[in-house]
Amino acid sequence: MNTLKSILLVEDNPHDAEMTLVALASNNLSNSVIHVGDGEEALDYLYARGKFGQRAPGNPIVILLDLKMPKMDGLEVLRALKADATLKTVPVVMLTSSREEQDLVRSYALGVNAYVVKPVNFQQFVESVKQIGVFWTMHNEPPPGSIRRSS
Amino acid sequence: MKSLVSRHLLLAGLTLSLALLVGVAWINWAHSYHWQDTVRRVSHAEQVRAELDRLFIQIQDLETGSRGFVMTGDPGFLAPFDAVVDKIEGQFRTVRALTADNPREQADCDLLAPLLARKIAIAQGNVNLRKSAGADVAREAVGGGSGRAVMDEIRAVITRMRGEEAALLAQRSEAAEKEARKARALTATGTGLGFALLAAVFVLLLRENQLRRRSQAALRAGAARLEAVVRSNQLIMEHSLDVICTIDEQGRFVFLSAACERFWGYTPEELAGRPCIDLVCPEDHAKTNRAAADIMAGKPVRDFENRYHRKDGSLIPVVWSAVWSAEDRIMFCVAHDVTERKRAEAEIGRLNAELRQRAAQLQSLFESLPGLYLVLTPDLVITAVSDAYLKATMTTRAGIIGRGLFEVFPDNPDDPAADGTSNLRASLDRVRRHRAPDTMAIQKYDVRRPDGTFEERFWSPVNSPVVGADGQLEYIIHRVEDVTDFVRQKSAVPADDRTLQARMQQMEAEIYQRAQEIQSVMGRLRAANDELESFSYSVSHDLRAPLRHIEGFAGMLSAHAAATLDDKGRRYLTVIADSARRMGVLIDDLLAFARIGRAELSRSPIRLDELVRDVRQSLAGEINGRRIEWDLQALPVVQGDPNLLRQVFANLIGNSVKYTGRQPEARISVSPAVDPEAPDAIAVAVRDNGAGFDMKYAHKLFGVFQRLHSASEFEGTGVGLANVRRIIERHGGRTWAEGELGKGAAFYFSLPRESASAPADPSLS
Repeated sequence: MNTLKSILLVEDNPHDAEMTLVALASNNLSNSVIHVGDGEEALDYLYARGKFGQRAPGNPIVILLDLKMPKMDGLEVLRALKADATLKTVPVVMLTSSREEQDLVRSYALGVNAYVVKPVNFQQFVESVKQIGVFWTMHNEPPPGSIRRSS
Repeated sequence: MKSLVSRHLLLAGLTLSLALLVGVAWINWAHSYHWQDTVRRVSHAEQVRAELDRLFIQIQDLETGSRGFVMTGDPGFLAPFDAVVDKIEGQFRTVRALTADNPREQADCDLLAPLLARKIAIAQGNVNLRKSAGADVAREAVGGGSGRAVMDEIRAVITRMRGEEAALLAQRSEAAEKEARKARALTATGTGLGFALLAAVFVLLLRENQLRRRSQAALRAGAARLEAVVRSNQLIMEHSLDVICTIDEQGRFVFLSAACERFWGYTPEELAGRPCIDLVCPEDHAKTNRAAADIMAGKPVRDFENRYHRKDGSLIPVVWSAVWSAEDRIMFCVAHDVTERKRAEAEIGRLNAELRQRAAQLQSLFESLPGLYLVLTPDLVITAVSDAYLKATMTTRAGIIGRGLFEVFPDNPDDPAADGTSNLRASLDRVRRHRAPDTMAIQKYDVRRPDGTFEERFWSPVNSPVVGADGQLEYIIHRVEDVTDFVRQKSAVPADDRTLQARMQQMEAEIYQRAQEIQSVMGRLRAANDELESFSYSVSHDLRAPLRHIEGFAGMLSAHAAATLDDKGRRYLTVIADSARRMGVLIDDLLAFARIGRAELSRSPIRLDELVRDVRQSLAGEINGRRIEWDLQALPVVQGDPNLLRQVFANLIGNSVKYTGRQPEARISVSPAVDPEAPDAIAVAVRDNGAGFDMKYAHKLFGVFQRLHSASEFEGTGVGLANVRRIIERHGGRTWAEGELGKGAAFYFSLPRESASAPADPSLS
């Protein structure tokens, strides 16, 4: 069964990743999510190289990007994406626990499409993630060349 | 004017038409004589013809008589014959007389006379022959024919004469006819013209009449106006404060307005006819007479002043305006009482003198000041100088007043290091710009001796502005102190004063060392600040992650194991999640508190009362429909950071809302207050009738995480008031509180009136 993975979740913390996946699963969105643990891996996936060399072609319809990650952090990934002609159209949502104004300002300066602070309250967190998933996969019309979610 | 022209025209028209009519009459008159003459001539011609006929008949009678007697011998024929012979003589004389005026006819008469004589002679001869010789001889003589020839000649002459008369008659009739035609034509033309002119004159007269009526109306209006003018003139005369009068050629008052009584104490009646010079003060006689002569020479006089004696003997100064009317031979004058003006002038003169005296006093005071002063205009021209300054700079007042400062005091051209003028110029520029005194460092400023050489001097100058009522710079006072001696002493340290010099060097070294220390502390502080910043960043990110996980997994567990957990198990999970959440809130508040310390203040004018109203509205959720009696009073505008000050009110008013939650009738007021420690500051009080607090814990109120109520009683983390204090302190103000347990609380903050002077915050948190 060749399900198309159309949400790219970049999250180094396995607990956060798991919570995000649970939240998405509660809306039947988890099947279309691919999770990578850091920025480098995210770029490998996007460029279909390294261990993702064999993946099906196409860009995710949205990237959920954590800010603080080992090796290559969210802002660096964002800068690389927005500098690349084929990737800069992919919507990027910062999903982070940082409320720091400088993070917010720098993200927007680099061209992020949305910035969401992870709520401490679990129920609110589930709700936020759900809304992000539904908005980007259902309501938003992705740029051409995105992988459509299997219906 | 127009009516005059038409009057001339009328007269001319009338005259002309009359002349025409007279002419026509005269022509008719003349013609009637002519006519009479003609008639006379015609009748004369008729008469001539009749007389000629009568003559001829008489001649025929003569012939007939003579023949009858000759034929018949009847003496009956002789009687008429003799009568005729006598008559013919007379008749011929009549004809000659009638034709005396005609030479041709006279010539004919001359012809006729012998013919008549011969005829008569022949007839007489025949008669005589008959008588003497009988009928046959006489009959023969008659038949001889000489009588007939004479008779034919006579007939011819008479016929010519009759023809002459007839021709004359015809000629005269024709002439008379011509004359009559001419006379008719002249009469018709003259009469026609005369009537036309008369008609024109009539029309003109009508127009004239109309104009006259109009001008009469205008005249009446003019008269009404004149009356009004006269009335107003009367009013003016009666009420004018000035005397209006006329003076005749001999200098006597003719007419005076009512004011003369007030002026001179005489009524107009008393003065009329009196020479005005009688009233003039004798000293002013000469110039008054001169002025009068000028006026009468046609030069109007204005503002001529002389003094008059009043009836009571006092003098009154009067100013005259007068003009001469050559037509009326009279002077029209207006006199004005200048007593008050004179008094005012005298007063002004006195004040001026006093002012001059005071100014002189002040100037001499200023010039005698022991200090060295120079007063400059804003464009640096010297306007005043003290004697001491002149002495110190070896100058004279006359030599420097009115000249430019740097023109008078140039730098010593022999001293390449001279910077006195440029320093002074910079200082004066600062005074002009800031309108504030400027004290200069000690200047080396060499003084130019009168011989042009320079003498080394040191000065300590202060430049102070003199600002006028309109805020404009009026003068700059340049005050200097000659510190040459002091500077010389200082530089010439005596040999036995080495210890002092050493001490000074030591102190200088210490100052340098301290400065180095401060530098290093500043560096460390900056590093600590940076560290703190990255620490709070880590806290915000890393510390919260596990909390989220605790809460998240507790939540997932409760969802996952809901069926297998009993109440106790579920409660444990709830406590785990709540604790994690509370810690999250604490961390957020703490981070916010730290952020307040770090954030840059952005200052702008803020209407505090508007801010309060905004905050109250944003608290609607917390108020949740509760009945609260608000008393929000007008607050001033301050300079400050709008977001931070909003947070202050959000915390204070939010607290009031929270701590009055158990009051059935909550009251919250925001009003201006007074800071007892800084009465000038802008202070605000937020008061409520809520739970209040015990004053012995008041010092703890504004500390971080300090709470005077338990979380179960009132929710909260204890960071809000700490934030308030920090924000107000960052604005250069202070906070304090008053309260009583169970009675309510009052929280105050004050901001310096000039918020701009708030101390800069050294970014320490």
